[in-house]
Amino acid sequence: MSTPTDTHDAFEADLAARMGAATDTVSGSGVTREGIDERLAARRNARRRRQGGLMLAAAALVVAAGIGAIAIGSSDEPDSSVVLDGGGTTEAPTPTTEAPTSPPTTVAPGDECPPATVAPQPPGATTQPDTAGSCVATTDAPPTTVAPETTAPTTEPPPPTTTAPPATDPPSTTTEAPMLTPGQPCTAGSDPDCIDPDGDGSYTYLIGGGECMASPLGSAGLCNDPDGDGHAGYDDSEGQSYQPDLDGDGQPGYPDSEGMTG
Amino acid sequence: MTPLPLAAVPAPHGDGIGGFDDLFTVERVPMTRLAYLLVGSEAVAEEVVQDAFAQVYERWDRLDRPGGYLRTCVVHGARRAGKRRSRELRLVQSAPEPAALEARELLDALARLRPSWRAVVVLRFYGDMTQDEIAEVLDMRVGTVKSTLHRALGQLREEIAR
Repeated sequence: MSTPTDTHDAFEADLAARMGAATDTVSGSGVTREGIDERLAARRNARRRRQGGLMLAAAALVVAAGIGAIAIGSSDEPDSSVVLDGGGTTEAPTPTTEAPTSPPTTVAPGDECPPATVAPQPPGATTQPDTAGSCVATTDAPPTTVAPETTAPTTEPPPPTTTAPPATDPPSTTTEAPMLTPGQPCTAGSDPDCIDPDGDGSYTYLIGGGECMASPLGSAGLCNDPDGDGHAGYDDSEGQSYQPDLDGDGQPGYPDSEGMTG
Repeated sequence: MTPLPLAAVPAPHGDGIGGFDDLFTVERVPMTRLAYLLVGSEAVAEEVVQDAFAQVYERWDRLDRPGGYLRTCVVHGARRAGKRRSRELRLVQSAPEPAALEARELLDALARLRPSWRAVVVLRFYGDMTQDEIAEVLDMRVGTVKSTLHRALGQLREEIAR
């Protein structure tokens, strides 16, 4: 472009003038407040539809997660129903089953809503048109109701924690489980739970033995198996916070966190 | 050349319907004309502007400069509409609309520009905006605005000279 600056400016001025002239006939008469109101209503409807879709998707995810958790739990602990003595772990399934019902998607798409819910909208509340079909406040409410229900289950994490441990220790114990029978003699060092509770040189494989020996009970010689159930320490029959072996890894036989202080 | 209040869009502060109505009254025509240059069809321009006003309305309480926001909405809406209906726009432009022959030539020339080039040219010469302002509205670098403007003017010059 070897156009001199002068002609360039002249062209620009001409262009601006042409643009002004080209739009002289445009009156914008088709742009009306009513039209804007219709747009607003359409936008609200579209937003509500989007939110409804999101809620459904969230509900589906929750259901899928619940089903997955149940499936994992059942595959990891085939005989957990036998082991369970009615412990607190039975709380786990309920939250997941409740979640699907939570999606108040049935509320969100509600077509009717009190005018007050629409009022908080922007400026021209008085000119707001199709309030019949618009309800924004109800769409805001559902998310808050869903959140607590989905978080509630996570606050009761027994099941997740039982599935988590296998990632650390259990793999080895589960593979060795067939060779080590709780309550039977074992070779020292073959397993963390192969312990010598009495200090007489006879090693016995007891579930939770390693943890028990590491606790004050170990030094007190209380990690033997008085009731012969294969679990180290006090017998569980007295409700001493024995936790069943949910995931079959032979781990939490003895209370490692709860009140076995005496 | 008509006075162009675009760049100096009054930003009526204050809540309530009065503020929005003021903006509507002042900006309805200029914004429709701006959109018209961008999309080449008055009907589409009106749709774009109505949608832009609706967006402003929804965010009214949170906007410091409703006028500026409105203009940005119009420009972006016009670009979206242009992408959606590029084929229709060509047809619309060739259809008889109430525009002088010279104006039609201009619209045709503008329509042959890339949408982003067209927006830069229109904002610069119709909206009388600076390159910095254009860069902000179109979310471009100032350098890009400069080069785009240069190329677009070159193409326009050739188109109009024919």
